[in-house]
Amino acid sequence: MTDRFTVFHDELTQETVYYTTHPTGVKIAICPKPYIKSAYAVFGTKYGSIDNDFSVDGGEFTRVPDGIAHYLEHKLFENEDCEAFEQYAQIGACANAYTGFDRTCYLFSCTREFDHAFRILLDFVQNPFFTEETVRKEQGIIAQEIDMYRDNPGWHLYYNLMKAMYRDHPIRTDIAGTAESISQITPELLYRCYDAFYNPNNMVLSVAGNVNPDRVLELCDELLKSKPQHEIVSRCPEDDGSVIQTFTECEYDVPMPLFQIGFKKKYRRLTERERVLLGIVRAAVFGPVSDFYSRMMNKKLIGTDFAPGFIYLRGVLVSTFQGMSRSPEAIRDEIFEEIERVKREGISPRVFECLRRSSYGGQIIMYNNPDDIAEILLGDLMNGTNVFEGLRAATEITVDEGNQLFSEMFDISNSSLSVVRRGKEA
Amino acid sequence: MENKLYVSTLAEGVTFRAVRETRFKNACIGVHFFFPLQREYVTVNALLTSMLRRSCARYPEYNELRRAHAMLYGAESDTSVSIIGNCQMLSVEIEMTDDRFIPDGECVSGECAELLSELIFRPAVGDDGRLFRQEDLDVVLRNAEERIQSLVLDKEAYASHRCYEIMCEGEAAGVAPGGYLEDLPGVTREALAQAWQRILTTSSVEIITVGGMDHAPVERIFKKEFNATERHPVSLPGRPGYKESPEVRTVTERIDVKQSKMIMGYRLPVIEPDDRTMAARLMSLMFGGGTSSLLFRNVREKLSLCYYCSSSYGRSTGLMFVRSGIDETNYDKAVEEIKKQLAVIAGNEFTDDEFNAARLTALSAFDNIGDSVSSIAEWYANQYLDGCVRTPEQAAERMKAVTRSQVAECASLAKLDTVYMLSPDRTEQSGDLPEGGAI
Repeated sequence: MTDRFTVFHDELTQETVYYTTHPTGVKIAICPKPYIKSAYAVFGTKYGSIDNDFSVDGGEFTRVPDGIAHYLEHKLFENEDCEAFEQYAQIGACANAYTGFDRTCYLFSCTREFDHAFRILLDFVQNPFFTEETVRKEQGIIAQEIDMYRDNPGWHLYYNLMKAMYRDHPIRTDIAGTAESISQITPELLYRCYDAFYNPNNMVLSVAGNVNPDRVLELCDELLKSKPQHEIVSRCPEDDGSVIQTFTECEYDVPMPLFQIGFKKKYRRLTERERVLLGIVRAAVFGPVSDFYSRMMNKKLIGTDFAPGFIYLRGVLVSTFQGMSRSPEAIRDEIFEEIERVKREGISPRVFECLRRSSYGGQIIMYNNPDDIAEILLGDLMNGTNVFEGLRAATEITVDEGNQLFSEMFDISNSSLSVVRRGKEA
Repeated sequence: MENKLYVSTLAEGVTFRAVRETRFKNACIGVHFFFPLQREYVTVNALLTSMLRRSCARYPEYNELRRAHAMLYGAESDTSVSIIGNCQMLSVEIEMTDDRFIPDGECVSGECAELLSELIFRPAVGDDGRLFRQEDLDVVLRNAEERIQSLVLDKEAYASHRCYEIMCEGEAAGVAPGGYLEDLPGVTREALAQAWQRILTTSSVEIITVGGMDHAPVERIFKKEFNATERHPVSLPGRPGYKESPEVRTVTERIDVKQSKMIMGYRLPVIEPDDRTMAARLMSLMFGGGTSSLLFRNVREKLSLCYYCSSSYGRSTGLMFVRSGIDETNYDKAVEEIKKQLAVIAGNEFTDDEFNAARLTALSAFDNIGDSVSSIAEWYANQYLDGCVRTPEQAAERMKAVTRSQVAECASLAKLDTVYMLSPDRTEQSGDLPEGGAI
C-alpha cells in the first residue's frame, strides 16, 4: 500500500514524510516518529474568518455574519448523540480546535489508542449537527470569549492597526465576530458555510508521532467521505497596497503606551526561502543582536517586550514592530531612520551570519515535537509550500539577498502606527 | 529511563545528573540553585536573574552576548526564579541544537556549557573593578518596574496574583517571586553582589543535562567551577504546614474590564511528602483539569456560564485554585455550580467513566514527559526537594494505584478559603489601577 505515498526524506533533519492525495480529495501528510510515545493529528479546512463573502459553483455571493467560521468550529464538536470532547476524554486524548483568518483546524494528541482518537476526529468533523437550540446555547460561551479578548489592550492595538492599513479586507474584523454579529447566526447559515468549505477537496490532514502511515491511510479509506467537488470563490476586496491612515490611537487603562507599527506591501506570494530570509533580516536589523535594539534600550524607548513580527495571509503582507514605549512616535521615527540607514549601508555581514546560523538551528529544533511537525506540514498542504526548502535556504542564503528583500519589504512612506494610551481622566 | 541516568557529586551539595537521550534534535543544560525563601531577598534575587541573563565578563554588551548565542546555532539561555514550598529555586539554563545536527561536526554542547558557566560564575565588571555594571542595573531596574506595572494588562494573571496575595498573606505562597516595586530602590550593585555570593555559597545545587551530548566535558567544567567556589550549603526548610481559615473570605476589586475573573482558593491538608498528593492531583484533574473535567462539562458546556473554568492543585502547598471568566451577574450561579461539582466528587458520586477519563489524562501526561528534552529536565529539577527521585514511569504506577475513595477523600478535605473577583468598574469610567503591585 505504501506505493500510494510520495515519500520524502530530508537529509538535514533526518525526517521522512509520507504525502498523498486521498481519492476523496483530502491532501495528507504523515511524519512517523516511532521512538516517542505521543501522536498528534490535525484535520483542517481552508476556511477562516476572512471567507465571509463567497459563492459556490458560480452561484450568487453570500455575505455571512462575522465570526461564523469560529462559531461553526465550536458547534461541530457537538454530534447528535454525544459530544466529541466526552468521547476523547474516555480514552485520555487531549483535543482542541482553532479558527484563524484563513483556516479552521481540529486536532488531538494522545499517547495511546490513536486509532480510536483518529476515528472520533474524522467522524465529528464530517458529521455536522446544528439545531436552533444548540446554536443558541453557544452564544453565552462565545460572548464570554469575545469579552475576554476585548479586555486585552493588545487586541485593540492590533485591530486598530489593521483598520488603519486595510480599507475593506476582512482582516479588519475580529475572528470571533461581535456579540451583535453572532446573534444573527442560524443553523441554516452554519450548514451553508459547512457545505461550501468542509468539502474534502478543500481539506487537509496532517499526522505526526507514533503512527504507522499505512494504518493511517487505511483508516482514511474507511472513514473519509466523498463529496462532489465544487468550485468555491471567496471574495476578497481589491486592495491597492497603500495604507489608509498613518496614525491611529485609542484610550485604555494601560500603565505605559502600547504601540504597533506596520509596514505594508501590496500582497504577493513569498517563497519559503524568502519567508526564512525575511525572519533573519528582521532579527538582524531590529532584534536583540542588533545595535539598534541596544541603542533604543539605552535611550529608554523600548523594553524587553519589543518584538518585530510579520502578518502574511491571502491579501495581507505586513511587517510589524510592537512593544511598550513612553514615546511611540519617537520609536517610530527611529525605526524609519534605521530603515533608511540599512538601505544605504546594508546589513552587517557578521550579524547576518549569526542569524543565519541561528535560523538553521531554530528550524532543526522545530522537527522535535509531533505537535509542531504536524502543524508545519498542515501549513504546507494548505499553502502548497515545502517547509524543508526554508531549512535548506538557511544553509546557503547570502547577505546580498537579504539586503534586496529588506529594501522591498520596508517602505517608510507606506506605514501606520497604532497606539493605545492611558485616557486623560485616568 | 533509569539505565540512561548518570549521577555524580561534584562538590559539597552539588549533584550532577545526566540523562542521555538521542531521540531529539535539541539538548539542554540547567543549573538549579535551591535555598530557603526569605521575603527580604526576593526582589534582589529576581533582579539577579535578569542581570545574569543580560551580560557577563566575556560579553559585557547585551548584543554581543546575543550574537554569541546566535553563532552557536541559536542556543538560548534563560534564567528564572520560583518559589517551591518554603524554598526558592533559581535556574540558569541553556538549550541548544544537538551536536548531531550541527554542520561540519562542530561540537556546540561544550561551548554552550562554557557559556553557561561564564554567565553564572563571571558576571560583568564595572569600570571600578567591582561586580556588575551600573548601566546594566539601570536597564534591568527599568524593565522590572515596567514588568511589574504592566502585570495588570493580563487580567487572568493579575487576578491570580491578587488572589494569592490576599489569601496567602504572610505565607510563602503569598510571596511574589518576581519581586516588589517598593523594594526596587534597594537593589544596588552591592546588594546584587551579596545575593550572588550568598546563592553560590549557601545553595544546594542540581545540574541536569539532557541530550545526545557527551556529558563528561560538561561535568568537568562545573566540577572545576564549584570546587573553586566557597561552599557552605545551608539546610533547606520542610514544606509549609496546613493552615485552616475560620471563614470564607470574599473580595471584589474593580477595574476597567468587561469580563469578571473569578478565582476560588481552596486549602487541602495534603502537602508533600504526604502519600495522598497523587490522589489530590487526580481529584483536581477530574474536577477541572481539561475538557473532560466536571467543571468544563457542567459550568461551561451545560450552563454556558463561561469560556473557561479550570482547577489546579499544587502538591508543595496543598492549595487548589478554580479559575473562570464570567459575567458578573452569573456569580452566584457559577459559585454554586462549582461547589456542587466538588461535592459530587467528595460524595464519591462521580461515574466510573469520569474517573477513568481523569486517570487516562493523568497517565498521558506522564507518558508525554519522556517525549521532550525540556520536560525531562523539568521533571528532575522539580523533584529535587522531594528527597527522592522517581522516573515518570514510576510516578505513573503510583497514579494507577489511586482509588475512587482516595479521590473522594481528597475532595472532602478541600476547604474553600477565599473567593476573589476582578470585576468591571461600576461607574462606567476607567478607574484607577491599584497602586504598587508585584508579580
